Amino acid sequence: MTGPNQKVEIIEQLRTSVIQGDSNQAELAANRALEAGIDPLEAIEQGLAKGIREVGEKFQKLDLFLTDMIIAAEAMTAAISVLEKDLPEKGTLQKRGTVVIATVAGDIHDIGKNIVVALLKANSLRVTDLGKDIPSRDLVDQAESSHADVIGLSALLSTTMVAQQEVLMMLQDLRLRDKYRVIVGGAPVTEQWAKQIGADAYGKDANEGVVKVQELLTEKLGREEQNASRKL
Amino acid sequence: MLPGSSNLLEIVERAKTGRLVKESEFEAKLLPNKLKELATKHDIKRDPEVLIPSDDGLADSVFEAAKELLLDLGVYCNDTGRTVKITEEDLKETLRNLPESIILGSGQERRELRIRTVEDKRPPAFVGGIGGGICSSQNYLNILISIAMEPAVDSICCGSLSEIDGKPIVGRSPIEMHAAQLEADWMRQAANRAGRPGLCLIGSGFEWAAADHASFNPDWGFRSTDAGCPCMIYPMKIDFNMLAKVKHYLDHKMPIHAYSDQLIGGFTRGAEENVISSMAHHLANVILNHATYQHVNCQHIHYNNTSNRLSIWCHNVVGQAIARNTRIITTSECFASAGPCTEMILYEGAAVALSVVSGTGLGPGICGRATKETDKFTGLEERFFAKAGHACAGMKREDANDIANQLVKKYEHMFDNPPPGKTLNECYDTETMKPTREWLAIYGKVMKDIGELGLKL
Repeated sequence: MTGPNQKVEIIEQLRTSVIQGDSNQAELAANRALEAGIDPLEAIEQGLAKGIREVGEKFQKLDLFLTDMIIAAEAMTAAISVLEKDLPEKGTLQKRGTVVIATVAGDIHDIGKNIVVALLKANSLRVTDLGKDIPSRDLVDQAESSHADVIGLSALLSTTMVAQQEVLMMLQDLRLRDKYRVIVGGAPVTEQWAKQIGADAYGKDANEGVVKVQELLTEKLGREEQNASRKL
Repeated sequence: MLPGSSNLLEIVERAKTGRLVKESEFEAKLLPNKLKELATKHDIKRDPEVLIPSDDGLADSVFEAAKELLLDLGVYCNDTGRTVKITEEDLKETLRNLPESIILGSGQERRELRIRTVEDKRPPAFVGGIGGGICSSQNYLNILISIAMEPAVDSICCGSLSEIDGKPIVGRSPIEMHAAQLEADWMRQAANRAGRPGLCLIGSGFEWAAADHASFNPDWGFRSTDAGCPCMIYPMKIDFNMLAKVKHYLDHKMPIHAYSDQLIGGFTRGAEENVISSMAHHLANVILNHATYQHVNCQHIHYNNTSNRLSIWCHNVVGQAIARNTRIITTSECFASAGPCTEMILYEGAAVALSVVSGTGLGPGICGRATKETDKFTGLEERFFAKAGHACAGMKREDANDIANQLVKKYEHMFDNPPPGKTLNECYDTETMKPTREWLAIYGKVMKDIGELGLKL
């Protein structure tokens, strides 16, 4: 066990490692937290999450930039993967939900998607970023293998928006549609398009996208929990 | 040696043999770290009180830093996962061979675009058009007609077609080729209906090279007197598809209007680093995409406009760096947060137009609603943009800075909730192609306001 001063110091190290985007220091601090017997959830909430929130706030004011967000999110992920091993209930973080996200087939413009990924990670969500120009079938397969809850589809071009529709149709044809919530976004994408293709949500920008993903997760995971308790 | 019209094979060769780097490493680490280092080394600093600097040393430092960036990092090729090395000789040779002027269009609409100097007294060139903004197939033609009818417009830039008769455009398929042909046909029709058949058209708005090629047709589509439109992919990237487009433009001896949109707050960090990046993209565009002219666009990552303080500063610094150190012909693009038929879009346009004092021309734009909404474009804001830009010719940078500060204060508080404005159908009589009284009244009021600020329109 650890004294109060040491605990404060380790949690502060977790926070600053995220702000500095230092993955090595973040892992080191996470291991120290485990050795000192600090509750991993507390280490995440009081240390890592506080740090990433500060980075997010500074990004909003452009005191920090996208690259800072990305490396901060990487540091946070590195520390979480250490802390997770000792979480009292295995899979606690998975319970917040998993998001699989990609820029759709034919589209090489992934800056918008990258911003969303950084913000999702900053909100302590488990994110699998598949990258750009991802064929629809690969995207669905990855969603399956990652046990995703939400699929995020980004498109910058009017000629690639149609691949968002393709993914939804594929989910339908494979009888997988009910397993996922699907959110679409990107410069030419509109609310009307999202409705037309049967997506569950539309994010007009990165910030709104993240809020909508969280809403989708709350709704989906809540519903699954209800169903599970009914079965009991 | 890279310069010259036959260097595309050499570029591909370099892309095949360059340094292997992961894309994420290049864009999220190597590039931003180098930009940060160069901004410090060359002491590139932004004074928050200044929107339009009068500091020649700053402009020259940005140019030197950009050269260093390009020579040190090169450009990333998406297809090979390698960097394309650029040598000092490539750069010198390319800059030495740049012309003093280029010709756009034909017949009565033939326009000569000349390089501009800082505080140039001559009126700037104006690239009108939609600048990649989203248009529906229903309104694309009318929007372009309204723009082509504005006499101040020297050329018109394509938009981004959202669908064809409500049906999605399937990328890299015959539908995309058909869409590119429709777009070219509408652009040509718009020029003809405005009584300006030789007006230079800039396109296509389609990224796939095969679709772009399909839209070239001297009878109904793009011609050799129109301009091709390739880009550097953000940040500092190219791909073979884009080079294939360039090959087509060169084969047809078309002028090339290249662009390289920057994202302030993105991989290219803050304003101080974005001016270096933008300048380097301009240089790379000349060497790799054979740009004959270009436009500056540094967007704010959260607002997606170019009318905010950071973007205006960037456009002016980059404009001055280009005008003082190269013969690159460039314009300044306006992405406005507001939509047409609002005062705000015009104030935003006037603030961006002031970069004429830094040696840029105008356009494409004004593109309303930061290109996020469909059909938010009319000819009247283009008329305003041209008049504002012409009024800036010969103005001192210090005076322009005072006006810019006053203008930005009029609208920057509305960035989080800008007025959406109206579509062409809502603020034009589409039979006569004239603006409604409401839109004309707004235009008149802002013209008067801006005149009182010192911009004599």
